[in-house]
Amino acid sequence: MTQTLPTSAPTVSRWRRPLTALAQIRGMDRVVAIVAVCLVILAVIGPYITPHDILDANIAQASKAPDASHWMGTDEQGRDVFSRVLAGARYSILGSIGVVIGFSLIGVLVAAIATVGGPVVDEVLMRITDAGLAVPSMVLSLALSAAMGPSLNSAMIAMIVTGWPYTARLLRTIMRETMVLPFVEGALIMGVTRRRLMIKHVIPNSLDVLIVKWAGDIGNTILVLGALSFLGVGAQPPSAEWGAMIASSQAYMSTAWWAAFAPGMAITITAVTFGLLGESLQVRLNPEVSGQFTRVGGKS
Amino acid sequence: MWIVRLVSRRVALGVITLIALAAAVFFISTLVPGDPARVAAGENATADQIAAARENLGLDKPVIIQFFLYLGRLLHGDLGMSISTHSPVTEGLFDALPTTFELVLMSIILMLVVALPAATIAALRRGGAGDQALRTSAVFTAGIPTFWLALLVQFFIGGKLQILPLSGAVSRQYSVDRVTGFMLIDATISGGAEAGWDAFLHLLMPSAVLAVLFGAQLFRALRTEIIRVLAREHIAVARSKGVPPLTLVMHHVLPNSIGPAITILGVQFGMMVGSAVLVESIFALPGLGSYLTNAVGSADVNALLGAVLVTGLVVVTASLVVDLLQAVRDPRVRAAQNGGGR
Amino acid sequence: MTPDPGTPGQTAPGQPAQAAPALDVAGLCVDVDTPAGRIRLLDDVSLTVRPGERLAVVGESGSGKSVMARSILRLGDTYRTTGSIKVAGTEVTRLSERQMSRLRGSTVAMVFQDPLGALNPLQTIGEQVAEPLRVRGTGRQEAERAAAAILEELGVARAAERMKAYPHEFSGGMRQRVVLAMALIAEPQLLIADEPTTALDVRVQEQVIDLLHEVSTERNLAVILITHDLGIVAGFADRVAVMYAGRKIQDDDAGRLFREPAHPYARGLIEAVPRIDHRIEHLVGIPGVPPHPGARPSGCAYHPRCPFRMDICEVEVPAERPLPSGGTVACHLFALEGNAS
Repeated sequence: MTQTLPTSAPTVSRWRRPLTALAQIRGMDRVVAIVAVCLVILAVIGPYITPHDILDANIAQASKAPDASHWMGTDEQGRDVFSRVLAGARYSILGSIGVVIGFSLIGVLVAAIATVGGPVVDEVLMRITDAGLAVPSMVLSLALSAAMGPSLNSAMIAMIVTGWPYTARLLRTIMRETMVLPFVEGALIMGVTRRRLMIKHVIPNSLDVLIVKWAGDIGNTILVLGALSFLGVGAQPPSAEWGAMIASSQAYMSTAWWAAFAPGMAITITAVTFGLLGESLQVRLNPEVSGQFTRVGGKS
Repeated sequence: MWIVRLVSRRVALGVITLIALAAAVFFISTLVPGDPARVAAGENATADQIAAARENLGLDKPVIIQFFLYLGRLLHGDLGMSISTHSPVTEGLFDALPTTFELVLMSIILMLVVALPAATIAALRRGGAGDQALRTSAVFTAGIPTFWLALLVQFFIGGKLQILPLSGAVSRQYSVDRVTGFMLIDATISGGAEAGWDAFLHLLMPSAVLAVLFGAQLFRALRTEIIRVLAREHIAVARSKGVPPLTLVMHHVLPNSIGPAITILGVQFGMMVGSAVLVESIFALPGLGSYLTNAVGSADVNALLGAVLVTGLVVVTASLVVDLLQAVRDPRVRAAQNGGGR
Repeated sequence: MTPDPGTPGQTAPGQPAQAAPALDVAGLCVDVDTPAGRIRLLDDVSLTVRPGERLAVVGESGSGKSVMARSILRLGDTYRTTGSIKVAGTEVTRLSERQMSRLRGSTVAMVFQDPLGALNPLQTIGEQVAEPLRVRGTGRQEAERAAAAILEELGVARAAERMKAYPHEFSGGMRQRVVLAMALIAEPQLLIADEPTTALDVRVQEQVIDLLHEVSTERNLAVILITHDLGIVAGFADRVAVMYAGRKIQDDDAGRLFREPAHPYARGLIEAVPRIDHRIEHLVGIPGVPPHPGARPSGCAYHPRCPFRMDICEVEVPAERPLPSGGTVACHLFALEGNAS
């Protein structure tokens, strides 16, 4: 039962439980966040801690099932799968982060110009954005990357070029909402220029949404980047990029399925981790946004 | 009439979108290393022949004029020649599209069959063990790369267990004449129910693989939406009128939740066409995806860009269909159309 | 904390042998589990409504009045309810969900605050008004005829024709008539109206309240009007129950309550009425704000705002006591007979 407490202060004991509950939720989210950070660290140091050389082919050791020396077995050329997965984290994870940073910059820029640029600029930019949204980024990046000559860089550029419309659309909506907030309208009336307003208030105000979107985007991008490499327009063999690894072991499924299994599992774990990170950030930072954009973002 | 207004407005918007897309595609085509005139004229062409081809393609004219010439050719359905198949790109895409549609539609059916009841149960028993289990599995399935899942499923179910056919659209023993392009229909016409069933079995694994990721997305969106609808006052009102639970779900909850699901399916349709590329190339289905991967292999730019444009057309059409469905479903949307422009 | 057996000192407590009360709530407690722990929304409430009686339940938002309405119809799925709720003699807390849905609409019905939100946007007016009959097996034509008749009766002109319309094509006042028609078509004995006029403009408010009064008299229908607006209570209710922080703090004949409110909170409410446009969401007469359900003060929940606070008020929850006037009050000021100022 409630204790007798001074009249003005609401009882504290009732709020202790919610606080512990909140701490517990935070604990779960913290696990996800820690895993995500570990993945990024792994992507940075991965190539330096591999137990075996990642390009060292040895036909005598080919297609060996996992054992004590080769934790994930060897592939059709006798290369250690575990080492290759570790080394490949750099391409897959850092590559995806690079892509997300790239298209986010373009997306923010387009949204900002559309917001301050007046109705004509807005209409033109939004039509272009719609055109970008009309083609699944998978197909467009496939064509673009193939046209530029297949390589990991081409695939990344292609994904940056095709990925920004989703960010631009979402951010334009958010910025529009911000522009009509009382303090922004007040600043406009006070004579603050729209450009200054955009840099000082509107973009910072959109950051919450953007951060949530980043986490989800990284998860999606890993899937698409892997898919592009798998189709042969991204990283080329003998690269240890995860999609490329799956592509080259594809033909040897019946003799060494683990060589395709391990990198796929790595993609799944990474995508799920960043997806969960996005979810928990979403709940924490802006629960009122429906999250349809993050949910139906361009996936492979 | 709302339908005329809706269709005309959406078609106009769609055309603008497609022109913008064509501009982007045209821009990409100018990026491609190499001389298109040389390519068009053939490998052993003389300098005169190349010059003739250049004039023929309008490549000697300013870029803007070239773009309008390009648009003009598009209007006639001319997407150029494929250098890998030596046939018009339009023709190749036309042959490939039905297979992709069949795959995607089958996937959507599977998605709905699973996601709709699952989302309803999860939403009604919100927070329960079933809801938790479904949500957790949805989170994890949404992170599985489609191409990897396709390989594993093909290897284990098709290869090891031999429950379903490994790949292809239909078994060799049936010779299928192309009538509609849809294998399920064509096989049934050519080889009767038995061949139709065979084609269905071939379609099952690829479409199920494609359905996993998008089904998980759909489930999550539907669940959220149903929970939102359940909290609406008219649901409490319906219950206070004495509407029993099943009627409540069928007449009040689902019709109101299905709107966002239709919108999401419309967006997903385009993405599924994109992902079909992966599934088709793994399961050797002769659709858009196989056409695209072939084009990638031989750096066939016309085929690649043609496929992009056609995909764009498909997506724009899909979003028109979505808007029509929404208007049929919701009287308020119809009223907004009749009320004139926003 | 034992629930009071019955409600002592009720004005004219109709003999149970004569007819079962339209509503008999005894010792009702409602809790919900939130991420922040279990919260008590309704605490030991007892209430009786005679057939044909019009009771107004007033209180600020968060006082538990809507929670009571929803728990009577068992619409709150997250509610953990203890105590007894008898509707027309039937104990609803023990019914199966199936039996409960049969009772809803035909024995007890409800009218909600927002008449647009209360209607399914995808169904025609006619379908929705006829639905309570349709789910009970009445044929389509017969149900539609009944729907047209009751809409006409409630003042919807050209009802048969306008039944084909959708909710968004109706005005706010018309929608509330439709909602009322849905509630009345299966001829319940008790109608609970939860803030039925809050979403309407003032002129339409009066019309709806008059309509409620009219159907109540004509059909001998017991009505519970839940509101925070004392201004609409005066001409409507026979009796008023005042709620504060999940408890019923006073229950009295409407006339007497307005003339001589016993509980300090009720007094504050009534003194506040003329000054602030009949609204009591923000009281001028009472300093402070109502407590959050998760953080209610100890003892009498009103004590931090009460001008007559005594030491005992911070410790002990006051029990309901009969007033000389015939109503009840839950206040320590009335613990000693005739202690009222």
